[in-house]
Amino acid sequence: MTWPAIVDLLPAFIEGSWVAVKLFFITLLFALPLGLLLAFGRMSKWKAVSRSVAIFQYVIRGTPLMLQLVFVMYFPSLQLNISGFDRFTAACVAFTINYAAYFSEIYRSGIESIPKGQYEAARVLGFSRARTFLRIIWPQTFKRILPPLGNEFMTLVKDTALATAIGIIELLRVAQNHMNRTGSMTPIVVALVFYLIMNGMVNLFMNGLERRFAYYKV
Amino acid sequence: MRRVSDSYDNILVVRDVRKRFGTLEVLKGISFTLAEGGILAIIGPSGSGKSTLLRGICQLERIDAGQINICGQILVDTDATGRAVYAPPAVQKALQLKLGMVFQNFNLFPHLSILENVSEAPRQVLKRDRKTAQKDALALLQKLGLADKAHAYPFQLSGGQQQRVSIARALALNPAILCFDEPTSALDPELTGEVLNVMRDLAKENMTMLVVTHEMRFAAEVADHVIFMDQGQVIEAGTPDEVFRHTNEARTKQFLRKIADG
Repeated sequence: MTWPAIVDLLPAFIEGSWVAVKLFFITLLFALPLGLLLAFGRMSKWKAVSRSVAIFQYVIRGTPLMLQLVFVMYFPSLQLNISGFDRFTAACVAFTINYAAYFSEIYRSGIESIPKGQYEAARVLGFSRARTFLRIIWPQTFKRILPPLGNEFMTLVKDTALATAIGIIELLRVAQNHMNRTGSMTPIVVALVFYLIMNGMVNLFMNGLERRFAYYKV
Repeated sequence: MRRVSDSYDNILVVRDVRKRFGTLEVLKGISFTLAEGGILAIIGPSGSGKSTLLRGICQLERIDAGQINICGQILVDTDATGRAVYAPPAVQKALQLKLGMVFQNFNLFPHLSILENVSEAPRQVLKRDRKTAQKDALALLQKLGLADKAHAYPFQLSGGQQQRVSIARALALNPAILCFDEPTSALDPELTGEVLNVMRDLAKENMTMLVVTHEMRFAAEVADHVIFMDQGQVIEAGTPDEVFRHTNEARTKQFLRKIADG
C-alpha cells in the first residue's frame, strides 16, 4: 500500500480508536470503584458476603471475556424477552464487571500488604476506622498497587478489540475489514501502531503516577 | 463513672487480668497499680505475656477477665459469670486517648512527613485546626531535638530518630500514661541511648510511664517499680533495688543472670 492510501485509511482508524478509548475510560470509571467495593466484600468478616464475592470472582475470572460480552449482549433479549442493551452499552457492562473482578484482587493484595502496625498505631491515636483507611491505609495501598494496575490498564487497551465479538466496529475490526478489501497487511500494521500509541500514553501516565508517589519509601 | 475507692491515687489499676489465645493462657491473673507520676518497668523473658498485658491495657487486645481502671474510670470489669465486660464505646475511646503508645517497630506513617505524623492525631481526633496542631507538633519536635527533621519522611531518619518521633506522636495527644513496648529492641545498640535519654527526660518531668523493656540498667535507674513476669504471672514486684539486687526468687535470679550473660 502506498502512503496516500494509508492516509486515506486514517479517519476510519481514528474512529475505531475512539471506540476503544471510550470503552477504556468508561470501564475504568465504573470498574475501579466497583473493584474496591468487591475487595471490601471479599475481606468482610461475614462469611456469606466474602464467599459470594469469591464465587463471583471465580466465575468472572474463570470464563472468557468474549463469552461474557456475548452473554451480556444477548441474554436479556433471548432469555428474558426484554429489549437488552445496545452494543456499546453491553460492552461497557461486560468490561466493567470483568475488570472489577480483577481490580478487586489487586486492591485486596494491596490492602492486606499494609503492616498490622499501621492499624494499631492509628487505633491507639484514636483514629476512627474510616479515617484510618482514608488517611493511613489507602494512600499506602495506592502506591503499592500502581504496577499491577498499570498491567491491567494496558491489558484493557488491548482487550477492547474483543468488543468485535458483539459486532462493534473498533480498531481491530476496521483494520481487518481493510485487509480483506485490499489484500494487504498494511492496515494490520497501522492498527498495531495505534495500539502501541495508546498504550504508550497509558505507560507515560502510570510512570508519572509512580514518580508522584516516589517521595517516600517504606 | 464509679471510682474505685481503694485506688483513688492510682492512675492505673490492673486487677486479676486474664487472657488466653486459644488454649494458651498468656495472662494468668495479673494485678498491679501505677501511681500518677510513677514509672513502672515490666521485665521478663519473651513469651512471658508482658507485651500482651500492655496491649490489653492499650485496647489492642481484649482481655478475657479482670479489671482495668484508668484515671478512676473503669475500662473493663468482670461480671458475675467471670467474663470481661467493657465500658461503652465512648468511654473506651476516651480512655484510649488517656494512653500513649510507643511501639517496638515505631509504626510511623511512612507516607506522612514527620510533622504530619505528629500533628495528624491532634487534627483528626482532637479536631485542632491545622495551624495550631502543627505549631504544637513543632514545639514537641523541638523538645526532642528533631525540629530540623519536621519536613523529612520516616525513611530518611535513623531508627533512634524514628522512635523519638513516635514518642512525640504519642505525646501530642497529652496522654496521662505513656506506654512503651520494648522501645529500644529494634534499634542498633548505639542508637538506644538517644531514646533512653528522651525517656529519662520525660521521667524528670513526672510523666507517668509503663515500660515493657529489656534494658535492665534503664529499668534499675529510672523506674520506681519493677514487675518481673514469667509464663503469664507476676513472679515478683517491688522497687528496682528489691527486684534486681535482693531477690529471693530463683526465676528472677536466673533471668537476670541470663540477661547479664547475653
